[in-house]
Amino acid sequence: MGNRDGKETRLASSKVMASHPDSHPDEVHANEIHSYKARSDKARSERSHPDGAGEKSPSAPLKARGKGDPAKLSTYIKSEKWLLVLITITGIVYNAGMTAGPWFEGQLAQYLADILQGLRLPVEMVQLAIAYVIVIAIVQGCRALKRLYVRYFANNINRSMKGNLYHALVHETPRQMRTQNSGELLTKAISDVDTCVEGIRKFTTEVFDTGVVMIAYSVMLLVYDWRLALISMVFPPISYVIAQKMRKRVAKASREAKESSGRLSSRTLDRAKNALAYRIYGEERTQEKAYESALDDYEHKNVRSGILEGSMEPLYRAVSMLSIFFILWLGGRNVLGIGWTAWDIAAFTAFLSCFIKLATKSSHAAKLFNSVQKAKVSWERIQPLMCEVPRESASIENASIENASIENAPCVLPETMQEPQGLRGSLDPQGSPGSQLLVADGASFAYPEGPVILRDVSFAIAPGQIMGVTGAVASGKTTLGKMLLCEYEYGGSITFGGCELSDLADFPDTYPVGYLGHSSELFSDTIENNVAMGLLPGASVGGGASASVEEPLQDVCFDKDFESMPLREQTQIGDSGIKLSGGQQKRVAIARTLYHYHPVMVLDDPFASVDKATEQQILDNLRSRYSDRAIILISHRLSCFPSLDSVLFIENGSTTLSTHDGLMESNGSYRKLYELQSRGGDLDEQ
Amino acid sequence: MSSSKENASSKQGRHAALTALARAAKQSKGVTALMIVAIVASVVVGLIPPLVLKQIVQTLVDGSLNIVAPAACYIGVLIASCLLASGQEALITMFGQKTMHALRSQMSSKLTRMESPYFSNTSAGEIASRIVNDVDAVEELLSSGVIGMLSDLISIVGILIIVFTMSKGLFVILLIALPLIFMFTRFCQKRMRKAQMQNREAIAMSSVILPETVDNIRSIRNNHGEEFMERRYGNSIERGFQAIKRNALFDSIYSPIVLTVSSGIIAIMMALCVQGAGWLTWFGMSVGTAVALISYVGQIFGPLQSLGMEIQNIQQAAASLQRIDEFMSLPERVVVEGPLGERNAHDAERDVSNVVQGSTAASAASGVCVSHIDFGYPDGPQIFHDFSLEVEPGEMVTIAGRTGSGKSTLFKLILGLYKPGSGSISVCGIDVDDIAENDRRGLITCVEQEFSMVPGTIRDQITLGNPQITEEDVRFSLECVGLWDVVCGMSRGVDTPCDQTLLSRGQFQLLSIARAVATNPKVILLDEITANLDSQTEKQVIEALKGASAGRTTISISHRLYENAGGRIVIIGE
Repeated sequence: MGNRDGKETRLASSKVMASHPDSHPDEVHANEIHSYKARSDKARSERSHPDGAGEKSPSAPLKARGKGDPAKLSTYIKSEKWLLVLITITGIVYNAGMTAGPWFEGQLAQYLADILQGLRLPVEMVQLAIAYVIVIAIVQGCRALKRLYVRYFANNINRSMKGNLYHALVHETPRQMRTQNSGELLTKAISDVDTCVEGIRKFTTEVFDTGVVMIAYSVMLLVYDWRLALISMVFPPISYVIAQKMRKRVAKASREAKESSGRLSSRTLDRAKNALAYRIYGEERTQEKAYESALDDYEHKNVRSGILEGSMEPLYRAVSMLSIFFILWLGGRNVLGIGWTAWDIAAFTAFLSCFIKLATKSSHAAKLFNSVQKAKVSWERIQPLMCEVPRESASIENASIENASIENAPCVLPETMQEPQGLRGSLDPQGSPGSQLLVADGASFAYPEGPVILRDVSFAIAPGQIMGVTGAVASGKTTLGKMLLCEYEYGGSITFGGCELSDLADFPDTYPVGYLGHSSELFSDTIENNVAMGLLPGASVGGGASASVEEPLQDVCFDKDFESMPLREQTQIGDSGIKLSGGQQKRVAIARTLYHYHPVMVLDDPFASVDKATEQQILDNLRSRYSDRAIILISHRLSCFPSLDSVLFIENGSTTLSTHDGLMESNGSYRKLYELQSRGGDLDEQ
Repeated sequence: MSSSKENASSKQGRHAALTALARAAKQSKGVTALMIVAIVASVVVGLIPPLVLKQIVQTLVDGSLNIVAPAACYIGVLIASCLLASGQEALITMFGQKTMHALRSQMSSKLTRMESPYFSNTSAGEIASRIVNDVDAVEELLSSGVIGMLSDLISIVGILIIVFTMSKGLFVILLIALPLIFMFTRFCQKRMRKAQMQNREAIAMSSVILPETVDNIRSIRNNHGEEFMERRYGNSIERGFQAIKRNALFDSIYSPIVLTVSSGIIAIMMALCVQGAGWLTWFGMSVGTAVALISYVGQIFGPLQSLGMEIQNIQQAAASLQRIDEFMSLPERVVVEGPLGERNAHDAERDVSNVVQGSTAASAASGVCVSHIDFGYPDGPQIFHDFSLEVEPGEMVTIAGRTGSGKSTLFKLILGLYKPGSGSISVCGIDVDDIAENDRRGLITCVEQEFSMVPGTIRDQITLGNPQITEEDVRFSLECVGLWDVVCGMSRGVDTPCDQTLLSRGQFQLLSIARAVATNPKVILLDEITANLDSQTEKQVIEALKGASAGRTTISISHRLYENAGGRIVIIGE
C-alpha cells in the first residue's frame, strides 16, 4: 500500500481526538467519525487472504500490475523483458537452425550418391549422420525452451491485464455500472484479454517461427542460386496479396459468427433461467422454435466463417507452390551443369525442401496477420477501460481523505449546533437534537434528467435508534435508501456528524452508511467469506464488536439453520447463494451488513422472505447489540413499526416524519395502510 | 410406469452425442459422403509427391534432363492436394456445424421435457454451459478428434505401405520406432490431461466470479470488499495458470523430442545402408529412393503427432460428452401436445386417449379439484397427507398457513410442476398432467412472486414469444393492470426493449399480472403477489382483475387480497 505514512497520521490524530478530556458533545461525533476511520483503516490493513492461497505464492496474484501506464501495451511487454530476451535467443537459434535440416538431408543424399560412385567412404556417412542428429537435437532443444518461455510470457501478460481490468471492475461505482453499462463492458473486456494475449503470443511466436525462419530460408536459397531464388520467390508474395484482399471478408464473417454465437448463448441462458416461467405458461414449444431459428443462424454464420478461415489457406499455399515447377526445371539444369550455377544433388534437394518450407511458412504469415488483427481489435476495446482507474489515483484519493475530513470536519461540526431548519413533525421524543448522527434537512432527489422523486425530506436519527421508512409502491422508498448512498446527487442537505454526505462520498473507504438492498448480493463461496469479505474477525471493532462472523450470524438467528449444516459457516452456498433458501440468503446478507461496521445502516426490505417471529427476534437483537448504530429500516410490512423509534412515511414524493402513534393519529393514508395489514391478524404472509 | 420411462430415457441418453452424430450424418448424406471422399483423396494425393520426386532425382542422377513431364506432374499433384485439403476443411466445418445443430436441437427439446425440479436445483449458468460449452467441446472432438484421427490413420498406413514396397529396412525401423513414439505420446498426454482439468475448473471458477462481481458491486463497495474480491479472482486465475504451466512443459518438449527421434531414424537408415551391398539391397536404396524416404519419414511423424493431439482433444471432450449424456438421461416428464402441436417419437408412446381428452375437455367447468393427494419433497417431510380442495368455477379462494405449510407447493402441484405421490389434481375437469401445451395458457396461469424478465420488448414480456397473442390482447392486458398509459409514454410503446431500469419493482409485478391475463385464462393463481405490492397498488390490481373477468376462478396466497375481494379462506398445515 502506497499510503502507509498517511495511515499513521490518521491513526495518530484520531488518538489525539479520542483522548481529549471533557469532550464536548459535538466532539463526541468528531471522535466517533475519526475513530470510525481508524477502525476502518485497521480493518483494511487486516484483510485476510481468502483461503490463504495468496500467501503461498510470493508473486501474489495480480501484483504484477503497478509499474507503468496500464493503458499501454508496452507496459505489459516491458515487465516481461527477461522472458523476452530468453525467447529471442532461443528463437533465433532454433529458427536459424531450421535450415540445418534441409542442408543435412541434401548432404545425406549426396554422400549416398558419392559412396555409390566410390567417391567417399561409408564411415564419412556415419559421421555425417551423427552430426545431423546432434545438430537437430540442439535446434529442437532451443525450440522446446522457446515454446515454454512464450507460454510463460503470455500467461504473465494475461494475468496482469486481467488483474488490472478486474481492479477497475471492483472499483466501479454501482452508478457507473448502471449508467455506462461498465460492468458488462469490463466483463467483455476480460474475455477480450484472452483473444488479445493469444494474438500477442502468436505474434511473439511467429516473429521467430515465421519472420526469422523465412529470412534464414531466403538467405539459404539466395546462396544456392540467387537467380532461381528470386524467380521462385515471386509466387509466395502473390499469395500474401490474395490473403490480404480476403482479410476483410474473413474478419466480417468471423465477426458475424461471433455475434450469432453471442445471441445463441444469451438465448440458451434465458431458456434455462426462465424455464419454469415458460413452462407455467405453456410456451416452451414457442421458445423451442425460436431457439431452433437461432441455431439455424448460428450454423449458417459459423460455416461461412469457418470456410473462409480454414479452407482458404490451402488455396494460398497452392499459389505459392507454382514456383516449384521452375525449381524442378531450372534446378535440374543446374545439376546437369547447363544452368546458372553448378549444383549437386544435395543442393537440388536442399533447395527444394527449403523452398517448400518457406512456402508453407508464408501461408502461416497470413494467419499471423489475422491473429494480430484480432489482438489489435481486442486491445482497442480493452485499452480505454484500462485508463479509467489509473492505479495511482487510489492512493491519491486515500491521501486526500485526511486533508478533507480531519482538517475540514472540525470546521463543519459547529453547524450541527444549530437546530436544522425546516424539520417537519416532532422529532423522536427520546433524543435531543444534539445527539443526532444523521440529519436530513429539506433533501430532495431526482435521477439525472428525470422528474423529482422525493422532495423536502427531513429527518434526524441518533445512534441506537431505528427509523422505519414506508410508503406506496414506487413512492420512492428504495430511492430514499439509495439517496443515502450518494450514488446520485441530491438536493438540500444530508449531514453525518455535521459533514455533508456528498462530501463524504468522495472517500468511499470511510463512507459512514452501510447498505443492504433488495438483492442479497451473495457470491459463490462459504458463508464465512460472504459475511466477512476478507475482513478478519475483530478488525471491525465497532461499539458492538464482532469477534467473529459467528456473532452477526447468531444475531440473525442462524444458529438453528446451522443445525442442518455440518460445516456451519464453512458451508459453500453456491452461485448467488442458490443453495440457501430465500430467507437464509437475506439473513446472511444482514449478517454481512452487521459485521462491517458502519455508523448508519440502511436496510431495504431485509425481512422480505423472513417469517415474523424471526423478524421480531432479529429486531430485538439489533436493538440490544447494535446500539452504537443508527438503523434505517425500509419496509412495506408495518407489523414491527409500532416498536420503532420514528417512522418516515412517503406519500406523493413528500415525507412525513413522526412516530407510529403520531402517524396513526395524524395521517389517514398511513393508518389505512397499517390497519389493512393488521386486520390480516395472524395470517402469515409468507 | 415411471421406471420403464427412466429406462427408456437413459437408454436414449447414454449415447446422446453419438446418436446426434448419426442423425446429422443421415440428415446430410451428401456432405458426409463428400467429406469422407475428400479426406481419403486428400490423404492419398498427399502421399504421391515424394514418388514423383524420386523419379526426378533418379533421372537427374542418371544424367538426363527428361524431367519436364514429371515436374509438371509434381506441381499438378501438389496443387490438387491443396485443393483437396481446402475442400476437406470446408466439408469438415459443415459437418461439424450440422452435428452441433442436431445435438443442440435435441438438448433444446430435452429442456422442454425435463422434470420441473431440475430447474430449481440447477443454476441457469450450469444448464447453459451444457448446451453451449459442452457441445462446442464435442464439435471439437468430432472435427479435430475423430475425423482428424481417421485422416491421420489413413496417412500413416499409406506411408507404411509405400515404405514397405520401397525399403524393407526402413519399414522395420519404423515398426520398432512408431510404437515407442506412440507410447511416449500417450505418456505426455496423460500428464497434460490432469493439468488441463484443473485449468478448466479454474476457468469455470473465474467465469462465475465476474458476473457475481457486477451483480454484487454495491455490497463490495459498501463493505470494502474490493481487495478481497481481487484476491479471490487472482487466486482463481493463478490456479489456472499453475495448471497451464505444468501442461506447457510437456507440450513444449513433446514435439521437439519427436522431431529429434525422426532425424535419428533417418541417420540410422543412411548410416546402415552404406555398410555393404546386402544392407543397400535390404534398404532398397538409390539416391532417388533416399530422397523420397527422407521425405516420407518427415511425413509420418506429422500424422503421429496429430494423432497424439487428437487423443488429447478427445480426452478433453470426453468429460463434456459424459456431461451431455448425463443431461440427456435425466428423468423426463410427459409433454402433452395440443392437436396442432408437433409430436415427436417420445410422445407417441403416450396413451392416445389422453390426447382426445385433453383437446376436448377445455369446454368443461372451470373449477379446480384437488383430491386426496399425498406429497413430500424427496428427502423432505410429508407436506400433504390426504389433502383435498374443491374450488368452484368463478370462486375466489385464499390459501393461508404458516411458512413451510405448503402454500407454494400446492401451487406447484396444481401447475403440474410436481406430481403428487397419490391422489389427483384437475383443472377445468382435465387432469393437470393431461393439459395440452397449446391449451395451457387459456386454462390456467400463475402470477409468480418474482417477475421473470425475458429478453426482448415489453410486448415479449406479455406474449413470451407466442405469435397467437394479438396486439389487442397485449393492449387489453396492459389496460387491465393499469400499465397501458405508462407503456404508451415510453419511446417505442410496447416495442420498447425491456430492462431492469424501465419500470419499478411494483410495475414489474403489474406486468407479470398482464402476462397472466393476456390469454384470458379460466383459472388464475396468485402466488403472494402482494409480497412486493403496497395496499394501494394491490387494490388497483384487484379491481382490474375483477373487472377483467367476472367468471375467473382465482386461488391466491395473499391475505390482503382476501381482505379486499373476500371469498373463501382455506387454512392449510394445521
